[in-house]
Amino acid sequence: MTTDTAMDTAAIGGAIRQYLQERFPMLGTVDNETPLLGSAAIDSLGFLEIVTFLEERFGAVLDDDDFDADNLKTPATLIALVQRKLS
Amino acid sequence: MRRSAYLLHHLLDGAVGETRTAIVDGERSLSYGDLLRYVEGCADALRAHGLTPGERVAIALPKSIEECWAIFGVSRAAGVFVPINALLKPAQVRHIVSDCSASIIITRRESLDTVRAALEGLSIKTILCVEDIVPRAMPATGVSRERAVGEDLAAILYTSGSTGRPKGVMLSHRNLLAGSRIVIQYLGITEKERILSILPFSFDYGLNQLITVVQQRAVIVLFSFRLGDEIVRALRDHAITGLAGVPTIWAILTKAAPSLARTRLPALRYITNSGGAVPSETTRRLRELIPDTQIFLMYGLTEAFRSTFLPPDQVDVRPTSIGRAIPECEVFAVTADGRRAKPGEPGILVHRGPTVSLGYWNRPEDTAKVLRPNPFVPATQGGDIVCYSGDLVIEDEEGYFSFVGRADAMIKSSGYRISPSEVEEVLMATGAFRQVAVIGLPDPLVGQKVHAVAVARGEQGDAAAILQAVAEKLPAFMVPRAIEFVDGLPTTPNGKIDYPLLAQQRSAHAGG
Repeated sequence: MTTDTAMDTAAIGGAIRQYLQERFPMLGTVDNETPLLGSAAIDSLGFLEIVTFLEERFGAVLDDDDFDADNLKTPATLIALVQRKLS
Repeated sequence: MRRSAYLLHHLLDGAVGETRTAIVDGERSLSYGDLLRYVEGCADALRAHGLTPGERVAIALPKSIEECWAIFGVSRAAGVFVPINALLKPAQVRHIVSDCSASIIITRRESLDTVRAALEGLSIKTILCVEDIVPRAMPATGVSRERAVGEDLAAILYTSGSTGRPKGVMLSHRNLLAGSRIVIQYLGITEKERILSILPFSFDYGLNQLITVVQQRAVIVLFSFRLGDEIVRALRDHAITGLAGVPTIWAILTKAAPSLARTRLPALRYITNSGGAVPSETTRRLRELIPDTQIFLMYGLTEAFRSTFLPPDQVDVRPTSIGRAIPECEVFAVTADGRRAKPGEPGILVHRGPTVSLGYWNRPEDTAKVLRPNPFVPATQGGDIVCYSGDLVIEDEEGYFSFVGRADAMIKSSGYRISPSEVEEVLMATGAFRQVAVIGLPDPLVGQKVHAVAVARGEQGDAAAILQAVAEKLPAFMVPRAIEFVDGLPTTPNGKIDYPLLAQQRSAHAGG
């Protein structure tokens, strides 16, 4: 059963992609596979901002260890991280 | 007998054949002996291309071994080095090269086409690639004849003010050597130091790290990073003893570098902050994470190179203070009516001493506002020229200073000084706005974030698309985080945009 507050993948993905596109205009059009970690559009501070955004927007409580390169590769890996944290 | 150093490259006197490592750059490293060979080779190449004493040489290189020897090589050839931040876009590079009328550009082959395109039509002697510069086989061991004295210009560092395009701060050899000597003294830098360099050399604070290392025959490890954990790994793997950063770096290390808590860093003797205030919560967290490391909170402005520092034993007592004057210098606060401010009373920080720069390149009016006669000792009685920082500070009863704010509209973000009008110019060039004002809003991570308040021309445009266009013209740290559309901008009684009001209205509810 899904609750009213639980967000589905599409909604999470939409919010994350929109945020990334607006905050990091140099990414261009963002899809789920847009490389984040290897791109020049996001610097070290940008990744901290992204994680802060995920916490504030979705109420996901991230542990220290979530701040890992594997979780920050693409929008798809960010979506998966949020879902893992909310489930 | 060895001469005492009065030009920057004299710090390499006696380095012939020295096998000690000077620079580590990824997998590469360079000894002091080889550094000197490259410095001589670079100077030879500059002279061969017709560099005459006092001419400017722009260095457009990423942080690298080559950038280090180019800086000293320009000094050796009696030129003036102008480091260009690798993050800058072609328009800003062109501005710097043309503003200081650099006659030679040093870059690398990979960037040659971009640099050439950016400088199209400017009159320059040549563009040199570091790949074409060969080290001298065996530098002479004797004392070289010099074509400059210590009062001559050594460097021009470009920085922004509250208006207009970046201005070039002129630093003499004596300024650079004084800055190095003073910082070596209060940080206690010795030949045992292994310093991690993450700040650009176009920034006085980053440049000073390189100079202090060379002076003490220590090691500098050049480094760039994406994730906080990469800094932690570099600190551990290179047994780093000193790390200099801006507030953003500490935010990343305390909030986004999980490995810091479980990594022992016994070598890390000290860290230094400059380029903005560290939130006291961040300082507290750093004290917990690296309890055996000394924290030096510092303050400096390019116009006076370095200015104040807070001794580490005061950090727990007054975590938001910028401390007291660095050795050899005096700092005091002056009120708007020209009095020396009393403790607790805000005033503009005024700095005097051997690090006071020579002013802005070719900008006498701007220079006259910042470099003024000593307000309390007339020139006829030996009064010196002092530096008015434009930063409002308060001195406490015990003589420690705290930063209060800026007396003008300049924005400070991630350690960078940003002129609102430079960002506005690029925004206006998109044609999307009738009017635009750029302000800084408080931000826990970067100090101030760049925010644009705009009146649309005709129909309101797509903010994301406009920002994408702007991001191609400006380095990322200057691109506004958001464009806020309004019907009109508030003005002051004399018809200018009321920046303080715009900022106040937004800061009031910008807590989140």
